[in-house]
Amino acid sequence: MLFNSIEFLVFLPIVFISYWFILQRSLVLQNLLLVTASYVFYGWWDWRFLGLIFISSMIDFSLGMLMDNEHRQKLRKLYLWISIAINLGLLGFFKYFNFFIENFNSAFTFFGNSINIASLEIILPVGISFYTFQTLSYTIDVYKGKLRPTKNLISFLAFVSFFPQLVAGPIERATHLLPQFNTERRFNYLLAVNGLQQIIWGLFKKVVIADNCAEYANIIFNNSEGYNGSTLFVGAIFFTFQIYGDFSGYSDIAIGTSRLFGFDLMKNFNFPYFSRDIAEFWRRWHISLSTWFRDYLYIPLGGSRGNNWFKLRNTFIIFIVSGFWHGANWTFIIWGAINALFFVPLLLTNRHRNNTDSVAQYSFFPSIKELFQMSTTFMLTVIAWVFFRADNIQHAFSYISDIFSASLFSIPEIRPTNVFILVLVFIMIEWWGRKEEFAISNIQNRLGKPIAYFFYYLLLFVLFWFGGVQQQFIYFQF
Amino acid sequence: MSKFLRNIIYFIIPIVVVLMFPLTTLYTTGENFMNIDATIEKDENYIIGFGLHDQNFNYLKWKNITFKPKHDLLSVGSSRVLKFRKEMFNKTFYNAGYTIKSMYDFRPFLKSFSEEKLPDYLILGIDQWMFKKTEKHEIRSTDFWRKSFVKYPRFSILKLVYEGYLDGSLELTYPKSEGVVKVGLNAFKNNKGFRNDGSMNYGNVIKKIIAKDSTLKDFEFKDTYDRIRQGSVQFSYGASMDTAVLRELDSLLFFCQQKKIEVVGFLPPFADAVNQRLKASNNYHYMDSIYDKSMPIFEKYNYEFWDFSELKKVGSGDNEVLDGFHGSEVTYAKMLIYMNNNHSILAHLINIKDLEAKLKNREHSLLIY
Repeated sequence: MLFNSIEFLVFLPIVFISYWFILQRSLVLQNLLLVTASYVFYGWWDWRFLGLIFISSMIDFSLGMLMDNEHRQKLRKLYLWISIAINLGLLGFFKYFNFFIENFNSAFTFFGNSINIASLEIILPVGISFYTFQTLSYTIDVYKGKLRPTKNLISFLAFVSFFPQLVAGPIERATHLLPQFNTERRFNYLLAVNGLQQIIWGLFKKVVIADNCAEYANIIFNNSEGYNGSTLFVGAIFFTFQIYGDFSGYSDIAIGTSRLFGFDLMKNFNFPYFSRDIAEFWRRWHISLSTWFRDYLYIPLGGSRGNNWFKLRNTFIIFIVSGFWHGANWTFIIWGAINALFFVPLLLTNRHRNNTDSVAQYSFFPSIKELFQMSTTFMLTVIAWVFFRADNIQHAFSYISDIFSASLFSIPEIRPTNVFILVLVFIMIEWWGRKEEFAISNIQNRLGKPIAYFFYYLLLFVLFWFGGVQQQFIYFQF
Repeated sequence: MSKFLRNIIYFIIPIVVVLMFPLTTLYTTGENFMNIDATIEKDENYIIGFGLHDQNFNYLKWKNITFKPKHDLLSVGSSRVLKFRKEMFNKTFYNAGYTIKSMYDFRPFLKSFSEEKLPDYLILGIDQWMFKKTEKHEIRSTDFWRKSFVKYPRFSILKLVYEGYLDGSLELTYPKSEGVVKVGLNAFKNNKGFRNDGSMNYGNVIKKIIAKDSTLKDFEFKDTYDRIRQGSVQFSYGASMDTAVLRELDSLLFFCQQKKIEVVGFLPPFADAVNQRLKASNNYHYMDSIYDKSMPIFEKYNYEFWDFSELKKVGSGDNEVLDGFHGSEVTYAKMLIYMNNNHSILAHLINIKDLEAKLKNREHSLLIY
């Protein structure tokens, strides 16, 4: 079920009241409720995949137990590799099987041979890219000794299937989330209020910003050959805000909902479009995924130690794999490679750790230099997003080359003023709250209760009145 | 905890009050919260016209096919097959139009119901834009139509209802319907919706077209022209045909042959003025070779394929269309008569004498019944 649906509006209070009113004295029953609720939530999409997530959970739970009881390093490693093989195997089958078959067929045809291995009609289970990585973090951390495996099956099932973050993250680490299921939770009024604030803000980003931008991004991208450069540029900007509003909005709702139940999830987006360079952007965008790749792939490969070629290799591997994680299409791989190309100069000149503080740290407005840096970084990400959104590589290249034509300076053919205004207001609010956990998290302290409450009602009204045509959360397709 | 719940309740009271109005409208018109299965199963004379939940029609059509006894003849396609009515045929007929968006939808749709519900004859409405080259094509699962029904409203729907109140197009409640069961906002407001045989009753839209009401969305084809100019929706540009679509057409016809279904395909018409615009825009060259490339595929299976892209072929004209790309009942009656006169396999299924008489005695250019 979608977060922005009546079903969820009914589901959430039922689970919340049961959790805190009926079952608050028993941790086990609370966890059991969360497992049940999470399976209902997930099964609402497609009940056929409940078996898959259950089996995947049981396999990793069992392998964790086996590793715990095994002192021989070789066997522990074997169990780890079994977990990796099964998780990535499932992911590979459901997500990448047809991609590999189609490319295999194309490669054969290219070399003058005829082969036609049939692709399968495979339905991608929602959230598989997220929960497989989450369970992998468990087995890897158990193997490394960072985490004792849990013997509590209910806690583990709840950890894997926890409904706020099951289908689109944040990808939680077992070391961070799993212990929370084994710890007594007490209701905290302020945290719950904060959770609600984040849910409302997340809904605004998704329903108002993302869905409105999506409408125009889709029109422009789907008919790009007929539009002038400035319109294509507008389309790219709209997609840039669509994907941010969609994904960070979902994360906000996930984090806020978790907070209602006493759970702390990791921050997944940290105002990435205010980044001053690409390295900073990647420290602020989809943090749970980029840190996952950093810790479980980049560092084991050697990280940024070694000579420049070594660093280059590792950087490209990480970005390309990250791109490929997003989808079975060459466009995602190219998107990853482009980001690697943007990142590499900073890495090689040792400037990839320059901007670790918040932009305009000690003032309200950015300096001219910061403004220039933010604008440049933003434009680079916009160019890269074109590959992410385009139908294929040719489409992406022709889209970009058509942007940078003489018609870039003509008036855009599509100019939805209300959406421009909404995006502008959104940027201003995000700027105002850029040092907070999320833009409006501290609004009551900064502006006082009456203004804060007026703002909440205004947000709800804007949600209601300016909500766009409902689009599926982009990251559900991953 | 109690303080939290209390504050939440105080906070949402005004919101609930505000939302009660559109929820009342949606409930009393059956736009939401409706048990549609009961209406279909009772099969009393109805007009089901959801105004804000287009996707519900997928379920409506699927349910009618799967619940009722097998129909001898089905018409399947987009909204451009909806003018076929049961009165036009002498065998059991259901209009399953409005269920198909692309060529890749036909097979999953036909597979979504059991074999004993498959018809003996199938009229396939194949829209020209199905042949436009696109890299991505959505493959719908066979569950798509069954799962399409949305019983509860989304936030965006509640807003649309409020907009309706403000611009006067919607009222809080509507008087109960007499003589025909109405379901959905469109049915109550515009008398527009699907009849029991799956065909579309255009209700007040017909009156507005006859009265040359300029508030009509596609008055003088303005909306269609805009879509052509912007290359939007169905009218997105394309220089070449998608050969993958032809392969899918072949697979579809092979499937029908395996299931012993006789197929009659056709390209639905555009208004003459719209055809001229399409040609003049130079952006739709993919349409030039649709018939020539598709016909051999139909012939391979001994099926018929008719090109009705131009109204004049069947003796119709722009005065007999509902909008830029939907012919009226008159147009579709003329299409059937044309097929009958040209030895179509449908000839023995068409109520030809009745159809010709109704056409001759029609009151105006859009309706024959």
